[in-house]
Amino acid sequence: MLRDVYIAGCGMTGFGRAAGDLLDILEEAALAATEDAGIFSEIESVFVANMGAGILNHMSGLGSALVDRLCLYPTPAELVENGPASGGSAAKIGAYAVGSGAVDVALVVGGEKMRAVTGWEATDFVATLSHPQAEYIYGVTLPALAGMFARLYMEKYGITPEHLARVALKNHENGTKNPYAHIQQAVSLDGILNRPEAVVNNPWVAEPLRMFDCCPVSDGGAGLVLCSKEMAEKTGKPLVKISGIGQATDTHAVHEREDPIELKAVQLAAKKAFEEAGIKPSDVDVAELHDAFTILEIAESEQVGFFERGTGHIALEKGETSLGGKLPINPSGGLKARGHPVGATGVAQLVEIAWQLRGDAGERQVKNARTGFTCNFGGFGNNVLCFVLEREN
Amino acid sequence: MTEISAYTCKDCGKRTHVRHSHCPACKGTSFDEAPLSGKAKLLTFTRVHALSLAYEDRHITLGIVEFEDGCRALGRLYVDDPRIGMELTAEIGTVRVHELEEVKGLCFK
Repeated sequence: MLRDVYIAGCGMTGFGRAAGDLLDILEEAALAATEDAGIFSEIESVFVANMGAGILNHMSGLGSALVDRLCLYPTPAELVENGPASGGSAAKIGAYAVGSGAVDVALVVGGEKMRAVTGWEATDFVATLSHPQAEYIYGVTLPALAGMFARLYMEKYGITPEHLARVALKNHENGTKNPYAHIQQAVSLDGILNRPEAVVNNPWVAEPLRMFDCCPVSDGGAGLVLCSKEMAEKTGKPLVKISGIGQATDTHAVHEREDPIELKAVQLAAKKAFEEAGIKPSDVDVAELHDAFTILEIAESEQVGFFERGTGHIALEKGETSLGGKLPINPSGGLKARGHPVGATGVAQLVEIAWQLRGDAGERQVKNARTGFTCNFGGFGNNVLCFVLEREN
Repeated sequence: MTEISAYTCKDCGKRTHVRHSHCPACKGTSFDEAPLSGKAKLLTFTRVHALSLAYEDRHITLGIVEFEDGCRALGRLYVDDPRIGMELTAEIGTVRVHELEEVKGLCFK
């Protein structure tokens, strides 16, 4: 980028079931971010991230709709759709708009209203991102792709159902400390795995994955105000810089990957983000990974470079990824507990890291966090965005 | 019966079930199209309990297989006790009924 880009303001809605419509969600997230920044009329471009309003809410043209709600016209606006990585993509495009010097201030807002439809309609909607002839027609769901991935990953590295459950335990525990989380309730190994009634509490979704291995279906929104250093300095808040952005794609159909458990887009996106920031994975103090399924947190923690291959579950078991550990992962509760309104998630990950770096994360604050990382996983790993954020002052 | 195809690159011989404009191995642009069937080995599978729309089944089993020539595909699995590495035969059958129409696809038995 030609110049540095900063997060001047951030905010989000409470994830879960929203009372209002999608536009209300986007408005609330936009206002949370702009009020936090103390910047509004200076916004020069608006990027809205959403995956499914056309299918779920019978709405389109969300960029224009949000600009109208905010009376920001004639500010340019558009919708960015990149599946569950829509949020990361909109943030990237917003950062590039500021970084290129085209604009000084960009507003990025991600939002989704998924609970407007039934559970199976939501499942079918997300499955529309699979390959239409080679996957979707067979009734593939995202949990099914994750289940096939998990079976191979678990067998290769000796990961047990208990390791997967421990991801859920950790993230639900973190979620109890996040007032914005969809699920603010801790779970126990007895409740979801060990006791006989666990099979009722935690039924199969796509073997070997159970309900508590999957994120919930959520409504919610998140917003960011991105700007130049000069503008960011005027806010009087700690300076949070976007110091690295990486994005990569992979085959649409999962079976076309040479080794289906290699998440090449994750590896490449992370590598590029770290290179651009000029740091190593070991420099990261706090990370938000895309744990749409518990197995993905473990796999991503290895494939972005935090842990050696096959040791992510061991680091988890030792508590290294818990709050207070060497590298807390998903202090927000992650997708597992904060929730996963698909278009909002990539933005919400950046909001959490910005709060962590500013020291605004309340009970879930990671001490002395100065460098943060996010991984926003689109498709089943076919379009991935990673970001490195750093606190400057 | 609807045929399910695979595409063989005329330049390098790489065969894929998914149609591409450029060969994923050599970027070649001409292909021979032929039906995909025959013997295959199971690479991974899942029994799906939380189904998406248009299913009356309580669960379905899906698997990814590799054919003898290296071509891979995903399809419905009709075996009671699937195991990674087991030999299967691919046939074309009804994999889904969507808006009263039968959708044909790969069935592994």
